[in-house]
Amino acid sequence: MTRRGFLAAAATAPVAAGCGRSPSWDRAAYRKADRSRVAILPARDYTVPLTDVVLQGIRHFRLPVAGGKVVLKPNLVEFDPAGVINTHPAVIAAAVEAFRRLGAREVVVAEGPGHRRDTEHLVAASGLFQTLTDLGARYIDLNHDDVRSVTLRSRFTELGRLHLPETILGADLIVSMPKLKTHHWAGVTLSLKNMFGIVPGMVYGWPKNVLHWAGIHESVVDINSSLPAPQFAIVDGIVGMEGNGPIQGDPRPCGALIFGDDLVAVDATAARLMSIEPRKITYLEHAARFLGNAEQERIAQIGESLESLRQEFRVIPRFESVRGVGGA
Amino acid sequence: MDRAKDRPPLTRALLAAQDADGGWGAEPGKRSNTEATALAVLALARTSDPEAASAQRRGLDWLVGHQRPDGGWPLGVGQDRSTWPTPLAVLAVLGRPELRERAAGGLRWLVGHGGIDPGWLIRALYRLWPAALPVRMDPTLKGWSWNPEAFSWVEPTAYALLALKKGRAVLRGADVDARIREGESLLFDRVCEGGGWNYGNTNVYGVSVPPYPEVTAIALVGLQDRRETPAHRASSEAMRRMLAEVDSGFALSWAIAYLAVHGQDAAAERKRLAASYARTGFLGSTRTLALALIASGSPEAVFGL
Repeated sequence: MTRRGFLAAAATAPVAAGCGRSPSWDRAAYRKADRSRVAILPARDYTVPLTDVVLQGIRHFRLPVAGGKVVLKPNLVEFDPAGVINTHPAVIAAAVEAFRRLGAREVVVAEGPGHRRDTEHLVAASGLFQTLTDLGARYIDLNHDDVRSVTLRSRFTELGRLHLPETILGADLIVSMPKLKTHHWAGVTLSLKNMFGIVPGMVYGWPKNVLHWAGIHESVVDINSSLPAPQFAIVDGIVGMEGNGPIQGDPRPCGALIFGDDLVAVDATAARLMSIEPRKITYLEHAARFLGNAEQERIAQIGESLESLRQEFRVIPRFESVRGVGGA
Repeated sequence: MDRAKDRPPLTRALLAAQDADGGWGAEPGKRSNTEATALAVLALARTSDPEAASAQRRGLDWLVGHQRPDGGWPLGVGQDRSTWPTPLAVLAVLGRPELRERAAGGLRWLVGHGGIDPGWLIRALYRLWPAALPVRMDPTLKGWSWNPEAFSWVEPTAYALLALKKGRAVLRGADVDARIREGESLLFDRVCEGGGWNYGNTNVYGVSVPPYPEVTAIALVGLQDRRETPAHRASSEAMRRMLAEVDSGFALSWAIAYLAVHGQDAAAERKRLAASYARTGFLGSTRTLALALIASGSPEAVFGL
């Protein structure tokens, strides 16, 4: 919902972002694994024992949790009592408990909402404040965190550097916890796009307009390529959103949590779950060049089969072309 | 009298949150920034408490020390560009005769800066085929932006309008009037269906985007001298509708400021503000703490024209 909309309509953003140069990245810094693993675990609704499910999902991976600082980054955008915009507090609570049980020194929940500056309202109205109070866990508003300028390790945009929050820069593990949603500018919004929320509004505004001008897809890649700590993803697909996401779409129950330490593979799998071809999502196509695996044959599936949970998520007309059977 | 013990909780918390350098950070312990410091200085400006007055003077010193040579203020410590909190810093120094030139410098910066131009292609598209654009707005209007490389949005525009209007005692001129008119035009253009404002998009792909109470209140404070306009009337109605649902310290404080500068009673909202602080502690936000202290006192003296 930004000037990027103009650019989308005028088809100038990709042109502006890519004109006259090729995207580049530090080739020595990235080595894609031959194969990535993604776990899809069933969770019928938000009342089932989610901590057990999350623990089971995390244990499929070797993560630097013991003694470390784990930053959970949910998707908290707006609040609509009738909607399913945000990562459900029950999933966040389950993740807090799970990482604590696995020996994390500290687990914090951190987000920088992209539209609303009134974080107190969002956190309280969404139920997250009460959830975190009950758990004795901290919420950190990344929009107002102290920041440090970092050099981006890929050049899909012309940004070169970004200010990032100290909370993110000081993490031992960053856990992206998006909602399974379609998105009216990007096609889908999952664990990679969710990282837009770490960019501080104090510097870049509400919305984070500088990133939109630089190109949404390209910014997603540059942010994710430059994160200092290992990343993990837990996608809340218990109830997703279809249609005019990320805010005004409709609920779509899917009954799954998706886990993985390759965010590209997680997002590609989640896209296939929505019957969207991941390589037709521009930022996934970019990211799959060096950050992770999007091809289905390079992703080892754990847990539920993709086919058993796959659904046809509605997309807005502009994104009809991204539909696919989900093959490589 | 034991002043520390008798001090109101908001004042006590704000004093405790002051950094060693005299400024305030977004939360206690964070590096000082211009927004929180300016609001804290405004919040403590009318205090009779000597310790609070001393803290306020140190805050003013921080603002003076961090004004940039171009007249604007940076986000905070370690930042080297003038940007969006400048109008709040102007409001904070405006009331001090000895800082008149500081205020004038900030106002001149505001007159000379604003959001970026969207470019010829988008201008042309808007003029020739506006229905092709997924959002409905006039991209040719220039208000103020959050970031020097970004477009104009509602909240920074409202802050800048308030500072320029309150600052007429120290800076006047045709260029000031022109910037005010254009900033107001931008706010009028961005009114949501049924009144009120969100961050600045009214409609995306044909679907109306609802207003936010906090942004609506801030915009109405910036437009308090334009009550005759349809935008102000419709948005005041929208604000009244939204008021019952306002629950956060940030939104309640601005809602009280809106009511106060429009001569309306805000006793009920002040009670809810105290309840909000008791419930959430404003999530530790120093900015909200300062705004709540202003709202608990005489916001019309701080934000009224």
